[in-house]
Amino acid sequence: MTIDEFERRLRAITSEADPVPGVVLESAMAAFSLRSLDAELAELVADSSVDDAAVVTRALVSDVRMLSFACGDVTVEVDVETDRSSRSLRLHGIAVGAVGDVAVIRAHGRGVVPLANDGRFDAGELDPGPLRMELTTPDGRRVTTAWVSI
Amino acid sequence: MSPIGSEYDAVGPLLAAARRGDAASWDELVTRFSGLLWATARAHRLTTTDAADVVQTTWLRLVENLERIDDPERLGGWLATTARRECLLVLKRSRREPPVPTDGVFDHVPDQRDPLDAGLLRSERDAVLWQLFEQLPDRCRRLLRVLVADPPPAYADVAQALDMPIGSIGPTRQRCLAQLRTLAIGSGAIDASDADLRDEGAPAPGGAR
Repeated sequence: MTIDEFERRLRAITSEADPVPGVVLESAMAAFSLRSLDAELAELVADSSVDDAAVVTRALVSDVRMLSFACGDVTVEVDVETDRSSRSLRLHGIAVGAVGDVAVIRAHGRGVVPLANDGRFDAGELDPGPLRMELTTPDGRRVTTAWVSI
Repeated sequence: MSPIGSEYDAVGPLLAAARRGDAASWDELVTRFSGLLWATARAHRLTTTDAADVVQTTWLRLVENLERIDDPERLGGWLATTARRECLLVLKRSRREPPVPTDGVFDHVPDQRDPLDAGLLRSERDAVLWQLFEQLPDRCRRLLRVLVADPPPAYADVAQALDMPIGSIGPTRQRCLAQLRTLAIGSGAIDASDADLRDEGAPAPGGAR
């Protein structure tokens, strides 16, 4: 058996023991329908789960992950809280430079929450998984945040 | 030159068609690279649910960045890098957050990392080899897990998936396969007569390796 044949045998075994689950492939294919052609992208500019130690310490205490997105004049700051007792996730935040509603988009559905006058919004309890938010500027431009996995 | 091998279509036209909105080309990209992404997550020892989230997030990132990939031949590397970063985030969070009860789409996917998995394998020898594979030193297990993704990934993409120098992949692969072979002979998973792991040396056609 050559080394390449041995590798091929391992590939065959692995494909049988740990294949990509069908639902994962289906979800990846369905992701294409979530393409947002006419929206500007607000990149993730800060994430307390990767940033400096001081913020990490704070996150340790409060179980809050803080995320910041920015696109020109539009910024979105969100807190994702993990409730230690109920172990649920809650997301709320504040958007600057946006009006109307925030669409909270998941891989398999979307919800809409209103922006208060001061830009605050509360998306309530959420399941873990990928998420992005879509907002509208006062002059009607659409802005979408990058996807993050909460 | 195709990044994977001559038997596959070039990525460039698929990416260009997907940008134009062609869902079939997108599906082809998903079919082509999901094995690499899944293997990357598994190489980082993620659970089935976390691995599914990483793969899904990576594809969603590509959807939002379709217009921004300059060099289509580097798409595999871009996807692998994105997946690796997501894996590291998941690992970092899991070290300090209590486990979140999950109720998402991927939660009912059976966890294939269960030790009983070996029972899924057709032959007892395959099951033994799989268990030996899982018990390899981490450096070897990680590299081989990505290398045996289906379809076989390009070394350049493997390097991105594991953040290792591309030049060390070939020699490390050689050593790790030899190590696994020794274990496999000892346990009877392969015959001693099959144990002559000659290195074929020359790169495979298509320039992937």
